[in-house]
Amino acid sequence: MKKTENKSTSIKKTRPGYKVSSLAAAKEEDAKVSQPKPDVKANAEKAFDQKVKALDKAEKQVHSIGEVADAMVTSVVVPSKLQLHEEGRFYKTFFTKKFIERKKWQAPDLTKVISHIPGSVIQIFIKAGQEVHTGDKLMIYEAMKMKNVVNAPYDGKIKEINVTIGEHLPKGAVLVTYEKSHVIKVAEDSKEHHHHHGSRR
Amino acid sequence: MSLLSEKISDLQKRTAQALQGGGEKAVAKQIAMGKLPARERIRQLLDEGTFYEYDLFIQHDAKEFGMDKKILAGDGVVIGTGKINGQPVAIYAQDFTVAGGSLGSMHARKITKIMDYALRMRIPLIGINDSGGARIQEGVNSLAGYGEIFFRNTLNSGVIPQISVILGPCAGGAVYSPALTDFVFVVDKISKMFITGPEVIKSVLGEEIDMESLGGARVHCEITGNAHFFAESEEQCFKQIKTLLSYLPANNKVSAVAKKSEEPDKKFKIEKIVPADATAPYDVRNVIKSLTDSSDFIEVQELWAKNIVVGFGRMDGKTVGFVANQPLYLAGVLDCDSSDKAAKFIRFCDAFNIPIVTLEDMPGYLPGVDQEHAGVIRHGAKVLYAYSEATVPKITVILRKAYGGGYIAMNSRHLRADFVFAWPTAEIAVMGPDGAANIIFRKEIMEAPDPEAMRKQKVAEYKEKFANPYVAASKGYIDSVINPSDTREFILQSLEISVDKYAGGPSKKHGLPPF
Repeated sequence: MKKTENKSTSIKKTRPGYKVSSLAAAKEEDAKVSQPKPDVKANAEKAFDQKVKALDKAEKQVHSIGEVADAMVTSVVVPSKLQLHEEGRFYKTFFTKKFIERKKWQAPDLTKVISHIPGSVIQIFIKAGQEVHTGDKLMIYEAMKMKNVVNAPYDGKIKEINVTIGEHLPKGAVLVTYEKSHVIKVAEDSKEHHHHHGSRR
Repeated sequence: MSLLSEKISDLQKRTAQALQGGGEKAVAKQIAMGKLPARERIRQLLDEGTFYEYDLFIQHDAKEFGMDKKILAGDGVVIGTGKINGQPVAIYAQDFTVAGGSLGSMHARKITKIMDYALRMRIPLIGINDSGGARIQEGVNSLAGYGEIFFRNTLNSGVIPQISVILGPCAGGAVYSPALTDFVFVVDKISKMFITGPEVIKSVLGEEIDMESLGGARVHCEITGNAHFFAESEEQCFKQIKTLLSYLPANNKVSAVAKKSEEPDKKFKIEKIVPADATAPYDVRNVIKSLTDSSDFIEVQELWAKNIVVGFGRMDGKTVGFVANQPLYLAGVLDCDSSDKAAKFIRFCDAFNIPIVTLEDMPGYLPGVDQEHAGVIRHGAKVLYAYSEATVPKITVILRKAYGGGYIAMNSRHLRADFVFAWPTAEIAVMGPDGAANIIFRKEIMEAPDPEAMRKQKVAEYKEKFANPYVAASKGYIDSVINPSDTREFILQSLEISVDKYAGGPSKKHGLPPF
């Protein structure tokens, strides 16, 4: 309520649309992220390779007999697994490589600040555990001969800085992680104490 | 008299000197790389003895960086005119043996000269690209040269057919000339096309990739859609060019050379190709081959966006463009890439007065987040725009499925198709029976004692009532429901009637296709 109190904990409400069920759940998720994941990727790659091999084989069979129309109708070989579901009906068909390799959409993880272009970090302005406001300078990221400024996307507490100065990073690298639970804690706190924060633009 | 013979022998000496290009060593290196020298390529592509070369004695006038001491024969490019299939063409071929085929201002001057000739004489232009890129010693003059070439590519676009053959590296700004032309031919392991090369990508972004995987022939045929024809060797490539040019007119005011009318090959029985089960696939190219003369069909962009088939065939000896959904891949749906492929082909046919026959069998648009985020809306709109603006004779045959927005997009009556025919197996409706029944009869299904049986019954009802061509026929949205074996007759008859078709529109500078 007092002005000094406001300054030290003057963190705005959480971003709209950011859902976590409870503080405990958020803490659990934080802990999970740091654990190593099972070898899902290798299994998926193996399954994909097998599927592509079967596809190639079936495709070759069809094309080799595709010249004569009669043969096409009576003995076309289409693996039953390849079915495209269109409006309630399953169509037997081949898939294109592009369709098989398409990237499945994943909801963005809002606690991570990621790079959108390969480059390197040349200056870092913040420390782990620091509280930041929207728009604060986090680091200078050099890419395409420009010194790009990375700003904090929202208020919160920085959990960890995942990069070091001079490190060459690819696209999609995690630069900075926010403390999810801290952001939620503040939201819960603000609900309890009915803090009204002035709009800070 | 002796003076004349001296002068002639001097001319012969100079000519022989210039024809050596970069010299024996450079030519040997070119051959060792598996590539033919420039003049050899022209000789193999054009009809025998028809090539006349111009600007053989061009000299560059650059002075910086030691250029004043270099003599570059023909400044690295061979230009001239000749004949293919007995029809005149204009051609240029970059000479990799001379300074790496790099483009300087005089090199560009030669290319723009032959492009101007092609436009003035209204003959097709063929460009063989094999160049290291801009000649850095000539600085901005090289860029100016490229700019002049790209402008002329655009000026010629839609007036004369322009063909690019990538028989070597084509990097940096140079790629925009092929990108602006109508058809791009690439050869496996020889063509390399990219804007920023592997070295730059490595130094700026740290990603490692080799030239072939970045911009090789396969990449452009299968992934990017920048190339239209894939060949295993230069020889095969030249054959493909000759075949394609036999279908195309010399310019937008004449028709392609007509051949004698032939019957399609008897082994393609059209009524046997399309299966009765509406969910079973078939190769629509067999349907096309059952319609064209001698069953000849040259497919464009065969390896990209395989769920749609576009290409040229002949009917009654005259060139016809075909656009057909391919149920063999992705059930023949429309998506981003297939829309791009179809739209570009339709625009080419419209520009060069080639009638378009559309064979429709598609269940809808491909659902998916990646499609939506890639802009399937914007890309799908291209097909609608291309069909609507085309004033060539447009004939549609609905083979099986024609659902929803795709029914409209695939050259429906509403986009001013001239003749729309449907087979008895056609299903023209807003939605598939399974999807529609769930929505319309939701209440009945939910309140029924046995929802599953009720659902099956309602699906069958909807199918019988709506999934057929007769509802659309009752409104005049299609002209005729035809027997599949009569398809070729109907198309031939429609083409004959619409030979002098005239369709005007409101005058405007130009429309705004959804780029």
